[in-house]
Amino acid sequence: MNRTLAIRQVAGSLTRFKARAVLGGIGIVVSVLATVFVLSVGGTVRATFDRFVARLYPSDVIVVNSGPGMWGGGGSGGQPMRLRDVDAVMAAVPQIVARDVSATAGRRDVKVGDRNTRVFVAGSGAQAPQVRRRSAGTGAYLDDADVSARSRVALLGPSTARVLFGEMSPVGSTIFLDNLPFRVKGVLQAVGVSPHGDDEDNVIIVPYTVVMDSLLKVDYVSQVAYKIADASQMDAIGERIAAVMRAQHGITDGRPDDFAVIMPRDIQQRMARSFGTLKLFVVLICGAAFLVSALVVLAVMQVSVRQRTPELGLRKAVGADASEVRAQILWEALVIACVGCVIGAILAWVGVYAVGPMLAKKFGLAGLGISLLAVAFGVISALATGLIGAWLPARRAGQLDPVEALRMR
Amino acid sequence: MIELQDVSKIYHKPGEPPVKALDRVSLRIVAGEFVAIVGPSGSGKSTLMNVMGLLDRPTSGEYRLEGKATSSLGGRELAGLRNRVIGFVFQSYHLLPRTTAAENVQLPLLYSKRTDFAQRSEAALAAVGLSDRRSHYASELSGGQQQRVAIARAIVNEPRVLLADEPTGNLDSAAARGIIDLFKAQNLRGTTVVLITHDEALAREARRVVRIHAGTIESDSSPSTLQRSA
Repeated sequence: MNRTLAIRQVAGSLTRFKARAVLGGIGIVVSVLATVFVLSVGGTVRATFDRFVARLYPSDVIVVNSGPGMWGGGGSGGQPMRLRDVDAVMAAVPQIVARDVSATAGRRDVKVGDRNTRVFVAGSGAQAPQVRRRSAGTGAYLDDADVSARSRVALLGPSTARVLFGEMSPVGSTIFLDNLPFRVKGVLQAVGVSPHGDDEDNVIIVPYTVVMDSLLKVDYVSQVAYKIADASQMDAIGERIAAVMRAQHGITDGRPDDFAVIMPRDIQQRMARSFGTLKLFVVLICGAAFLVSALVVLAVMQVSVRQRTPELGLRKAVGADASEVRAQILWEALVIACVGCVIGAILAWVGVYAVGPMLAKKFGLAGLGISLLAVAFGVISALATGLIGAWLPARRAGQLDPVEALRMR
Repeated sequence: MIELQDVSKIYHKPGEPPVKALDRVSLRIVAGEFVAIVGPSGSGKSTLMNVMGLLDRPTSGEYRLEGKATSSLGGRELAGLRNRVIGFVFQSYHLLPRTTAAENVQLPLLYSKRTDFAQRSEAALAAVGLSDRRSHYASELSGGQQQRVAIARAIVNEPRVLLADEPTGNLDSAAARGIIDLFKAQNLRGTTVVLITHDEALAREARRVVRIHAGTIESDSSPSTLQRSA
């Protein structure tokens, strides 16, 4: 087969029947667009979630929740986690190098002069920067004295600081939390928006002892994060912490725990499972789109072969064998698929860059862009779709009896 | 060149009695002949052309093309012979629509190993006197011109046999005259020409006339036949 002429012939056939080529390619355009867009954005969502989880649950931190549920709470009849439990764990497990006690007060009214807003208020301790890797950007973080003296001091998230103080530095000023005065010690480092769309810079941190005594009036905490020196001992230390907690709460064999020890690996596995399920659905939906595209290609090429039967008969008469006639149909489908791929990928690219800033602002998706892997997946699927869709019509074309074919008008 | 020995062709259609389109036809055409095969419609002359052109296989009997038995050849080899040895001209031209005259003429070269397609199609169009129409679409040409393009397509690969099935059937007498002259010119250059027609006047242009009726050869005006039809 003469390649130069063959390429011209395929191009000629497609331009002669433009409407058919466009119809055949539309499904592929949509499938590639959807696949490349969803996989590209999905990859960024995954990476953003991974970073978010890594910040909440660093790989050298074991989190203990008050209550048996993985996410805290749940169950009744058990005891909540008290500070004496935390002290017992610290005393019994020397591998713990730092701990961060959290007592969350939820959303509270905060006021400065005539400005007021509702902000998520959390109690924390002096070692939080070591454990949570978030310290004061300006001013100072809480210290042990603030915690033990139950000082009414606060750190503001950058967004909260902006709302209450504008461009002025809030350090040293007084804010009113539930009408109680707090001195601002510092402004937290900015971390941005969580993948759930929450502004994590809109927060106020006060000593956990203040949350317990003044805001909640309780004698327990919601969560403690223990940072350990050697991550390879994670499992043994986790077991040890659980044992101390059981002893503290008088839980003997067979009775369920009234607390939850969360290992970073548990969270990662949970995330991986969730994303795995999501990915399966995405792949199934994209697969369904490509299946429909293949059927469209099949229908279009079937009509094409039927309408061009005399032409295909003529090709056989002038020397084409079955494989060359088959190849003509397959190449036409492949060219349609290729063009569909390019258009679909370009549309996906435009789409990602058009909605990118919106997604970045709303969900903190950083580094949103087209994933080459997604493009490769889209291209391979589209080419396979074209070939599979055109296979039957091509086979039929190859098997045409030239005498019968030439007789058809 | 062309040698048919007791060739029969029977068509079987489901639910219908078998049709004997060719009944033990024996015919020999030597290189360089200009033969007209004449018969009424339904006489089997088109079937004969399809068999000679390797578009159809005989049900029985033997067909030798250039001394080579064709019954054992596979699809690929038959396609190769159709490409190199045979040129077809059809009553209804069979030009590709929305395709230029030159591109139509180049069609057989697509399935050959030749690379000089531009020069070849140019030469073939010049031979049929249509060099100035090379960029015209088929729909922009008259019937006579379309058939000339079809002849240029048939000769572009320099075949040794030209098979024409009612090539003037759709043309007026002036255009038909021009087409016949082209076949004669090709024959003078040594190409074997087989003309299938029901038109007696046209048949008289050939040096040899084979008459076919009900699938058998009725008469053959030339001594080169080995007529033994039943």
